[in-house]
Amino acid sequence: MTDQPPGSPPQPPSGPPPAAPPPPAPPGGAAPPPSGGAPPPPMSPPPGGGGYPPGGSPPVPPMSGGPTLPWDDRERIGIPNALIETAKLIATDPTEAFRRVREDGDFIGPIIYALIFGVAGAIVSQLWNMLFGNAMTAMLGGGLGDMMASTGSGMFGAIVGILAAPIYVLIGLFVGAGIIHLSTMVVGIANQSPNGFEGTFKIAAFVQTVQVAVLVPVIGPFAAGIWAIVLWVIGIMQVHRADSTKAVIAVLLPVVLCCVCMAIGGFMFGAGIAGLASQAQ
Amino acid sequence: MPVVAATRGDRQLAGLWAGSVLALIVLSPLVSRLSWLLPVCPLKTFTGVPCPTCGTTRAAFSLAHFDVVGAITHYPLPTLLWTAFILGGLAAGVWVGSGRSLPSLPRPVPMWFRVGIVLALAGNWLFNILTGV
Repeated sequence: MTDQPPGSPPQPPSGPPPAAPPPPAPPGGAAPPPSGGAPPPPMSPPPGGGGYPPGGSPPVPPMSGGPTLPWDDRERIGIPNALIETAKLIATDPTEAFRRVREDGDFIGPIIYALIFGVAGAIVSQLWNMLFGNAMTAMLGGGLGDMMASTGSGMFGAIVGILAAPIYVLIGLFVGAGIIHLSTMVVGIANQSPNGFEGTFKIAAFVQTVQVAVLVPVIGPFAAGIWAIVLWVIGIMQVHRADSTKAVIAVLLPVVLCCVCMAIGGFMFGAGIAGLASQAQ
Repeated sequence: MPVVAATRGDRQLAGLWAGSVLALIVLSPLVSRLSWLLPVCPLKTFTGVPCPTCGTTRAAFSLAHFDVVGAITHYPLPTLLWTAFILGGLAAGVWVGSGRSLPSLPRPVPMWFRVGIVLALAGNWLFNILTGV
C-alpha cells in the first residue's frame, strides 16, 4: 500500500500497478513513516508564498495542505502583528494553532518567538518579585516560603535575572523539548508520528505564549504552569497525531518524575491560601 | 555510503545545540553565583525525599568545576546525561559544519530503548533515596 494524500483520486483497479520508486527520505529530517502509515504533513509554503493582511482571513498557501501560523508569515504582516495574531490563536484555538505547525527546517523563527515571550515573562516576574516577593514569602511561610526566598529578590537579583533570561530560555527550550520528545519516544508516540524533534521543539517554543499569564501577579505563574501543560498536550496531539491518553502521559511523565513536586507545591499553595482565608474569617 | 548534505534544519538544530553547550561552558565559572536563579526541588523541600532527577543541577555544578569524579560518584545518571548533552552538541556542530546531515532517530523506537529509559530513571531514583542525594 502506497501513501496517498487525503482526497487524492483512487488508483484504477485494473492492470498491474507501476513499480513506483519509494518516496525519498527528507534529508536530515525525521524518518519516513512506515508503509501504510499516515502521510507526511505538507510542507510550508516558500517565503513570501502566502500570508494575509491584518484582520483578513488566512489564504490556503499554494504548496501546503492548510494555512500556517501567522508567525510563519511575519515578514509579510510584520513581527508585532504576527506575534499578537499567533498568541491570540494559541490562546483562543490551540488545536487549530498547533495543527498549523509545520516541519520546514526553521528553528530560528520559533526561537525568536519564545525569546520574546520568555524574556518579557522574566521581566514581569522580576517586577512582581520585587513588589510582592517579601510579602509572598512571609504569607506562605514554611517550605514554599523558603522556596520563594531562595529564588532571590531585590534590584540586583532582578537585573541579573533579566539579563540571564535569554540564556535560560534558550537552554530551557532545547532541554525541555528534548525531555518531552524523549517522553514521546518512551510512550510510543514517536513511532507513528509524521514529525520529529523539530515538531516537539516548535511546540515548546509556542507554549511560551503562557508567559502572558505572568501579567497577573501572585497566581499568574501557577496559572501559566497549568496552561502550559494543557498546551503541551494539545500540541502533541496535533503535531504528533497522538491520541489524548498518550499525549497526557507523555507530558505528565516528566512532570511526575521531575516534579511529583509540582503537585505537592500546588497542594501546599492551596493549603496556604485556605489557611489565610480561614485566618481572615 | 553516500553523504547526505546538511539541510537548513540540520544547520539550525546543530547550531542551537552547540550554542547551548557553548553558553553553558562560557557561563560555567559563574554557575555558582547564578545558582539562586534556579528553583530548589519542591519534593525534597517538603518531604525530604529526593525526586528521580534530583542531583541534576548539582551534577552540572560539579562538572562546571571539573570535578568529574565527584559528579559521577554522587550523581551518576545526571552526569551521564550532561556529558552526552555536551559531547553531542559539540559533535553535532562539527558534524554539520563538515556539511553532513544529522542522523535520524530510529523508527520505530526500539523497545529496549524505551524500557531502558524508564529503568534508568527508576534506578536513579532508588540511588538518590539510598544515598540521600
